[in-house]
Amino acid sequence: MSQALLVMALLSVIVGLMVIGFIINHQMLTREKDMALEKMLGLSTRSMMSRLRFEFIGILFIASGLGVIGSLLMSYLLSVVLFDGLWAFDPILPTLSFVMIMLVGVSIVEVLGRKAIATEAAVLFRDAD
Amino acid sequence: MILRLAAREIKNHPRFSFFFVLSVLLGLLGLTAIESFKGVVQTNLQSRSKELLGADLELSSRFALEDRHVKIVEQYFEDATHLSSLDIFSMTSFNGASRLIQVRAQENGYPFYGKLLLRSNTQYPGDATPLADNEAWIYPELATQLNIKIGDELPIGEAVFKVVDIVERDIQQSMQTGAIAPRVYLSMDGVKRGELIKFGSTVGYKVGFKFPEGVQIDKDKDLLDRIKKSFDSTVRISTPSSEEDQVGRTLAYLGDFLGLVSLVALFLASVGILYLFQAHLRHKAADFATLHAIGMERGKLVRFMLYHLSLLSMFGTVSSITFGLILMGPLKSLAFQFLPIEIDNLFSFKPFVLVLLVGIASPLFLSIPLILKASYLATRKNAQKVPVLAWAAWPLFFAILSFYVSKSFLVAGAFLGGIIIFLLVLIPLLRLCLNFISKVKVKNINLRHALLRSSRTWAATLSIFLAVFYCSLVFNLIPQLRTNLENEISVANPNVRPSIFLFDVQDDQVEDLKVFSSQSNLPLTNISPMVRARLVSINDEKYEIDTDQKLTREEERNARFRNRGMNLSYASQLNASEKLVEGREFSGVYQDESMESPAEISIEQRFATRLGLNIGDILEFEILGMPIKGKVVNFRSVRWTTFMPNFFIVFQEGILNDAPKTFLATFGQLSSQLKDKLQVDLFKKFPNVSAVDIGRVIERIVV
Amino acid sequence: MNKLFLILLFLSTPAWADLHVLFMGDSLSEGYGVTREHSFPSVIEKKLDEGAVPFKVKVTNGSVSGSTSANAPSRLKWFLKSKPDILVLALGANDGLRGIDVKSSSDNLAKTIATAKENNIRVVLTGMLIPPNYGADYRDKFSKMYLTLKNKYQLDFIPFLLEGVAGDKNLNQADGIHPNDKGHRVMADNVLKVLKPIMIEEFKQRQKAKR
Repeated sequence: MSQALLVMALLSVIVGLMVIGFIINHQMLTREKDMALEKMLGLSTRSMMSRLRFEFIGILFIASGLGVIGSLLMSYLLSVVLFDGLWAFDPILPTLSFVMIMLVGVSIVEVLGRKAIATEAAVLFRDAD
Repeated sequence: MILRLAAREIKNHPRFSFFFVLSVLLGLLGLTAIESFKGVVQTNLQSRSKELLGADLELSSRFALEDRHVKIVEQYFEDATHLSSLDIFSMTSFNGASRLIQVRAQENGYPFYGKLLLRSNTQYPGDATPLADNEAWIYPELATQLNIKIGDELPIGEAVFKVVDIVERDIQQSMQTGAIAPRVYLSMDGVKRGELIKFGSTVGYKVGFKFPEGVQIDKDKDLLDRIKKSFDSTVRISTPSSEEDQVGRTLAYLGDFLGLVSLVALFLASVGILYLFQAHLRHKAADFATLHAIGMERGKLVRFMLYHLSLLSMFGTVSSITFGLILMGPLKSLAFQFLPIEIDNLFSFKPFVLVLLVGIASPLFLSIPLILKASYLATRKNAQKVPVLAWAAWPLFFAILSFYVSKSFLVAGAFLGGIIIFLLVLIPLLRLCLNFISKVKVKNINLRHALLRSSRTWAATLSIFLAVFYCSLVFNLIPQLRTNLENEISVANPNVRPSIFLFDVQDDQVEDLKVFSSQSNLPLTNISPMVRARLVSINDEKYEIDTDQKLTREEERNARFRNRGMNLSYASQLNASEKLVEGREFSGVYQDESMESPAEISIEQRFATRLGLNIGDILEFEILGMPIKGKVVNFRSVRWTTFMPNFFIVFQEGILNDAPKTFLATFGQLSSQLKDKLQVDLFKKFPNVSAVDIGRVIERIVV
Repeated sequence: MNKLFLILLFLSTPAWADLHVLFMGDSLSEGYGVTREHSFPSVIEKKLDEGAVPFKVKVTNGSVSGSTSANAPSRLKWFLKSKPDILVLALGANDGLRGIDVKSSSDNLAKTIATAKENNIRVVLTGMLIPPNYGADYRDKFSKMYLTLKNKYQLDFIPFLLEGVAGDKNLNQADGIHPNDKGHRVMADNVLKVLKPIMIEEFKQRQKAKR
């Protein structure tokens, strides 16, 4: 049964990572036109990536950091309410969660960011996205 | 026409539409997988708990149960069937050696759930031939210890019984009794023949009830309470989810945990969809304004947005359901291979109904206020406010869905409460931070650009932030709770946990036992002293309860708990199955020669909660006529499933060392043959020491 | 050493007591499920305080729930410090219920009785009956054990501690094994009936010995 619990936990982790991935991916998609415009105005790829990194990795860092801390608080409260206070602080799990979210987030920002930046300027005049 | 327009919108923006549908599909697929899996686990848990009890409801008593007891239950459940069983301790002997045994007799067909597996490869109830009045099935340890073979005859009571089979697996073995005395199954006629029931006999009477399909007594607490109140305190009523023992409590935890998992999956899927919707609507604001400018009325605009998003959601939902159906088969074999779960019928419509609701109805509720707002924006009616009811629709819908999937007001309430509190705190905080960020002057132009962009497009920033925050929150929530639960429910690895648990080892037998174990080359571990005591007062308030007054059933139960005394131990430090939760370690050995100051004590955390204890509380005990005071210095958690000797209350060394005591101990990892031999040798050399085979017990309590 | 002295001080017969009676038994004597004050040794103590005998008696309840006869010799050694005059030995029930070899139980009880006698303690042995479901053979062996001990050591004897209590739903707790408050009062009466003349006799003898 503990293996069943592990599967549940893994499934929620996978879905969580997927949703974060989609959110970042969507943001990249919506910014393609803005990025094409910036390229036309002479901004270097390096600067554009830098801006993306600052913005997204910054949001990811703070949001996921707070989220993981929030999860510790919430798990403690839930354990008091539902599981007779069965709770013990384990530093490894939240650290691992944070690192995984950052890894996935950073990877997507890097990959899709570069892809979005590489999009042809003609997309600016195109109606499709 | 609007519908065609919506369809064309999808066709004209293939990339966006694809990613939108993919997001919905994968989010919902995750929900389908979790719900399906959870359904399997829950079904398995429910059948497991029924098998452990053997019935849907059981009456048990030390006094004979009569027809009137049965009628009380039948008045609530007319179509219930019932059968009886008996548990009786007795003695048997063979080859010159005697053994305590637990005789179990049951009416043919009982238990209703759970089967005995016999060595002849037959099952009972099932294809095993029912016992005749002169036949018996015995546990394998009895066969080994007394060297009994099939066909041999055993004297039990006033008669002799022929051993016709050996029980290989019995899910209803009890920790307290069956592990000490091996079980022998007789028929009800056999019990009569053996004259085991006479005046003065100690018999455990049971009547089990089977209810019609669909009746789950555990779901109706009021009815269960009414039934319980119909009986006096001599009759105990048990249901599959009785929380009176470790298994019941564990099953309750798992149920709540699974409810939480569903909520998390639902929430994650909804966060993804919510984010996509609002981002898309914001992004398309200019397009909507254009459409309105060229003549599209607001009503049609609203319908257009609604149809567009609904079509996308429906594609995503239907794809998710299709994939889910296709994946059911491989999922079943995967689960069967890797998990100790028996899956008779994995397929259920329930997860798919939920996915339909979440995939179609949920986006509708979500999108209505957003679409209205977008339409006001597009038609320049900025001053017009979206009705509050429109905003409240989705949260209300989500709340109802949450209660449905978690099947518990407490679970859903606790979860939603947490989510809402974070939202109420974060939104104003983030707005403040973004305001602050917009005023920050930084030299790096790219950083400045990023900060300005974040603060200027605050709605987008807020939505990304909240989405990532909530994903991270729930992402870590389940693994965090799982780890804590697993410490509670999982049984220690067989290579780590002991094989035999010993108790009633006398003080003057400890050295002999050590010699015995080293001579036999067997690992003797965890030798722990046990001192019997009564808890007299807590902070000078009397603890025991007077029982010569009229008490309710619950008060009587509470009084029995308080008045029965407790087992204390002493140690210099925590053992491997314990973890300090609050307070500090012992400061060393008790030194006060005057014995005026209280000794330091450590309390198991759940026991502490039950007694309402705090760090610093003073407990007074009576130990064989001697008053001893203890001060609580710490609470610890105990993993009872390690099967190491553990105690609710542990004193520091130095104060109880001289008190009369017995010892508990364990023998480490042993093969079955060694275990059996050990039990025989132990019985010869230390006849007063009881040895429990832990492997047998685990078969029952492992969930 | 000082700690031991304090234990001794607490347990020993105080100056005001003329006689010290020690009860050594199991859950039946400890009062499992009832408060300390309602266990039969405490009920006896109360009756003695109220003047059942014309002298002061200190009662110590050295009973431990779940204990077998194996525990008796070491437990008596603990209480020797307190110098009991009379020992009411009410052990063996758990030996029987756990199917322990009768010889082993007999040896343990004999050792305890011998130690008591060496220390000038008068022993009152209480017998126990094993429920009939344990089989006639084991039951008989078990009962005979008490009679053998009684005869061998010339002991005062209470044949069955639960006389009039066992099997009566009104006098037992829900588990059907341990007496409730009413049951303990009946047990107190049963035991006191035998114990009272013994206490009087012992008191007189010890007073005589002091002179």
